[in-house]
Amino acid sequence: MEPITTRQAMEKEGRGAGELTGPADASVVMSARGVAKRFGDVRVLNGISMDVRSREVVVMVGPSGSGKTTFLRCLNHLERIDAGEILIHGRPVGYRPRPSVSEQPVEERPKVVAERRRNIGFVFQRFNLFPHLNALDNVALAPTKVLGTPKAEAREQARTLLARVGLEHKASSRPSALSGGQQQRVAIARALAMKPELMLFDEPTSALDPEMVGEVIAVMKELVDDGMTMIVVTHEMGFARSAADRLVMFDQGVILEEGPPEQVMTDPAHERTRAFLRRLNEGG
Amino acid sequence: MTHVTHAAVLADTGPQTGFDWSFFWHYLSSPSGLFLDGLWRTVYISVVAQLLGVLLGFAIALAQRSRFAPLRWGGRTYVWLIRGTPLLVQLVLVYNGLAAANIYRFGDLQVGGLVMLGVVQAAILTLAVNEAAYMAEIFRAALDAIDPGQAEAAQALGMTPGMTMRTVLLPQAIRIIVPPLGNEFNLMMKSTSLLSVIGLQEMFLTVQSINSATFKTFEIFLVAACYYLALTTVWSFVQRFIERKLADPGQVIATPSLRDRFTGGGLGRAGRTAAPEDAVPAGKEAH
Repeated sequence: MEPITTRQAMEKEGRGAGELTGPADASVVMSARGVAKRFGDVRVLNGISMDVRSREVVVMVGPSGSGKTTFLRCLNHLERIDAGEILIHGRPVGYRPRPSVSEQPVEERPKVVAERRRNIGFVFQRFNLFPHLNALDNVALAPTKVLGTPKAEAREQARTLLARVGLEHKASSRPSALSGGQQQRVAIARALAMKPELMLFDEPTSALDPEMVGEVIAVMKELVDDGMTMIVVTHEMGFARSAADRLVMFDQGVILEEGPPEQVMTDPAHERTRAFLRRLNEGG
Repeated sequence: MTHVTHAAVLADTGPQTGFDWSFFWHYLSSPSGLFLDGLWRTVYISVVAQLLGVLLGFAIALAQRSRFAPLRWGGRTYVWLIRGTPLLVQLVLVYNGLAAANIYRFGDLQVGGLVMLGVVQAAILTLAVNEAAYMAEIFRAALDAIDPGQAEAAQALGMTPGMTMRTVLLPQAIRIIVPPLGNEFNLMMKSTSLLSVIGLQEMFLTVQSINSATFKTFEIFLVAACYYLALTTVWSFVQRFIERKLADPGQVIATPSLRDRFTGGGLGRAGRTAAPEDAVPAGKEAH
């Protein structure tokens, strides 16, 4: 297989993607151009271009293996990219700034990457709370260590955040003593503690028992109401319909189509989207 | 004919055969100053070498995880070389070999009022270097055992690799490390008996010299065995204590304490498996 060049990636994206927004303006929080990635011989991302503006809520859907989670992980450099560019607030997260996108991306030093990740919140499918710390310290850890917030202050903030996700009474509980839904809410509070400008959610309700999905979705909707910029990978079409500004359909490493959720869901432009949504309805 | 002679010899030595209980008890209950010196050396050399071995082992484990390839190779080569050769050979090479080849001779070191013998330096160095190879593997296994999601979560919060290691990975790894570390220290205390070959007067060599003066071989080495057993037994209690301290209160399986086991007092607490979390003082173990 020939290596993916940015040019090829751009061409591919031209076929599938919807309308691209113009050159980055101040309100653009995340901007991706021709992002390509492969795992060995498998091309997981085949030229993804997408802009997300401030206060926008974007839901990404698609069959498993379509690249949506990988793309989300690339946004804060949990995965490397092979070609293209991802800018958050106009600056790349894991790579050195380069004059032309066609140049090979060069990775930044870990310290710089860490600094750039600070204001991007990430919520994992499996919560990934720190098991050796109680809920309060899970939330307060990063502000104290990364931002140097005084401990008492960070604790106070953490308490407020736990209250916000309805878990003030669980402050001293270890993750092992919390239900899945509670753990995910603590994980959201933990991400919020860094005062992020962008929140990424990787299937936040997929590992939960059905009766706990609601509590997590409710917390996410509150964030939407507060004007948080969010990119969410989820199969919760109810959330997409009621909370998202845009629904993005991933398929085989490209964006198949995108648009207002209502429009994509009721009148998809592609047969593959239609089939995917049908399967989702049958399954759910 | 031979048979008869043999029997005659046995009969002759009659009064000297058998186990000399009074000798055994004497040395077991009131060990000589010489013996206690040897015991003390065994203990402090073990402790110092183990501590250094843990630190060096952690450094090597970090090197093996480095993003710089030469460091990774260096770490692996170290483990390969050190684990691949016997400690006894390493001891002789470091202490006698280096001196014989006129490369380095361990001289006595004077720190304040204390003198550290050259042979003790060589012993601690070799034991620590040897131990580090095993500790590196233990650290590696422990760090590998932690869910990769933990490091990802820390990274996503903006933590540097160093911060991630200190605040997220190491606290979780330590819990995994303690049981094999206990094993290592147990071995370490017994391995110090090898130091007798380079002439270090630890417990074993002391016992050997007592033996050559008294010829009570069985008795005196049994005394030594008892003392080694005492050391490792004390350590196993210490280890149990540490493990208990580090346990996640939410995952403690109600194991009755020693006292409860003898008195039956622990029965009422059988339902503690899911310990009430809120009983733990907030943030007690944080940072």
